[in-house]
Amino acid sequence: MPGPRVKQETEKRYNWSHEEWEVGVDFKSADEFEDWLNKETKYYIRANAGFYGQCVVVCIESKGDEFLAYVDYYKGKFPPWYGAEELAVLDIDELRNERAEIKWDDWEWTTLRKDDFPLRLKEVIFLYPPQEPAMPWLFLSPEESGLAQMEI
Amino acid sequence: MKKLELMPLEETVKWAKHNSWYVADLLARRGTEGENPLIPRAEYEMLSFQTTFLQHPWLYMWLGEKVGMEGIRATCSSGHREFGIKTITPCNIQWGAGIALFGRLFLIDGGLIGPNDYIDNLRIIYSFWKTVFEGYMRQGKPAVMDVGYVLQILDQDVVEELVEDVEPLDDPNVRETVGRFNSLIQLMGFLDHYDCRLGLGDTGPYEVGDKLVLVRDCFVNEKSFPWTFVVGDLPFSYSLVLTYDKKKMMRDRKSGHLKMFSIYNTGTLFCDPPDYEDQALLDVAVYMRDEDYPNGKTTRIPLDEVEFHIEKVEAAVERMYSYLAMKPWFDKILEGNWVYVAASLPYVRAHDLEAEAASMGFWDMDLRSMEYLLKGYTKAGEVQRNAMAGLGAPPPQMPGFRCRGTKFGKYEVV
Repeated sequence: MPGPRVKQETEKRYNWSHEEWEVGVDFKSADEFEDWLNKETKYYIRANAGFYGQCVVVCIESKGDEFLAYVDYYKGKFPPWYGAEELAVLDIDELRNERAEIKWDDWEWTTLRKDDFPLRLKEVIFLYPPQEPAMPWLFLSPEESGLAQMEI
Repeated sequence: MKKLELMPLEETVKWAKHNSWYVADLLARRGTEGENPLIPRAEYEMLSFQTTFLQHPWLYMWLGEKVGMEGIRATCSSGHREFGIKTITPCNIQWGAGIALFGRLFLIDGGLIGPNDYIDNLRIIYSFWKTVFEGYMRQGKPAVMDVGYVLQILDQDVVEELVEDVEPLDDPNVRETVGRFNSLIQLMGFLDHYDCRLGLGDTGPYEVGDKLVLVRDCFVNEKSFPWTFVVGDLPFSYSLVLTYDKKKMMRDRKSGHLKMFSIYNTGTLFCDPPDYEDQALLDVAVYMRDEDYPNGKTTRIPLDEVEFHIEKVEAAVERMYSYLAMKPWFDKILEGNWVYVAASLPYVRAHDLEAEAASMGFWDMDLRSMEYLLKGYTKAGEVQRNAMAGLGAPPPQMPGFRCRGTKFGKYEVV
């Protein structure tokens, strides 16, 4: 399966998007597409209330039609409605190692549907840039920020 | 001609998604707090969100004409040099426009409008809010979450000067007195703003040598509110400059003892463990200010005079509780509404336009917001829960996009 090609600024569909990919990959099922998103997604927005989120616009060819749709996917719960017991054991640093799942059902930010498969994914548009922590050691996990290896 | 330049309609999608994330992130934390039974929070929020969503776009357009894009970007320039003023506070700067966005969430969650209704309002609000934020944080980003929950507003030389004036909290009695003062001024700021965070806010952490620094402002007497006569002997604001042991915090983050030390978009510090702030606290300096920017001046309060201010604030808290207890319920919905409308005061005060804005209708109410309140009143609690979770911030429907259809795309006002 060929990897996505990052479009030049002049090729982008929206000049306000963060990054746009030309893809051209066929998917037989929603699970296969979710695997691909997990493999290719370079960053998530980390929210300390208990989720890592990403939302993309995809350009799809399916059943003789071509359209744009939103796909919203998360590690952890969104909305982050955790009970007190769940919150007590939630480790936001560890959550980043989990697999992301697409929110499929009756969700305002996922307009691609499971019955659109099989389909051809033509483009992926990342709306929002990655976070740029002002103090990485305070925000990121010690492994990610390099704090774990630092002498203090 | 000076004007607010509007983003393309499609770009609102980007900010609507962003809005959904940070609102859910922030308000999941707020949901862990208690409620004040004296204050009809859900109801006044429903009214005020709608008031600002319907009216403030025109305030922002008017401000664009008065000061232009560079003027809007400079809204918070006073907050880079001074504290104890509302142009520094994230809650006001963020939620002045953010409250208006909540109006859309509430109306959609209440089934009163669809995602494409009032689309111009949405474009105007996002365009104004994004422009203000370009000049707010040091990094020019639109939300604290984007820079890892660190909210640096004051210029570094100002912070370094402030750190020269802090006093250590080695004496347990002084530490206890400052602790009481800290709690009381936050309570008073909260109460003066009808139990919401527009009355207080932290900025930071800033880094100075081996210390992290927070600047905490509590607006205990907002003089544009009629109940200023209840708390009238208090200054406009009290502020604390707090320093923390950076090396201890780094060690604790490394060991896993400190999981989080995060400033959110309301200027609220959330820690895990929850009592961590006191574990790392080293020094403090206390200040008060008599008027909001562009008026007034900041005065240092020596720590041996803090007890005198504690007595004043305690008395004012008691009077404010009596005032709230005596006030009829619906009057409090209206008063809460004006508190949220006032979240946009820093936008006009920054340019010394408060009086002119008032004459242009800043405090007036579009009757449609009252109409929507009456239609949604019984659902206020349920709608609040959904909207506070970032639900009801759907993308506008656009040509070429798979849409959600008439059931979710368009509502009739019944």
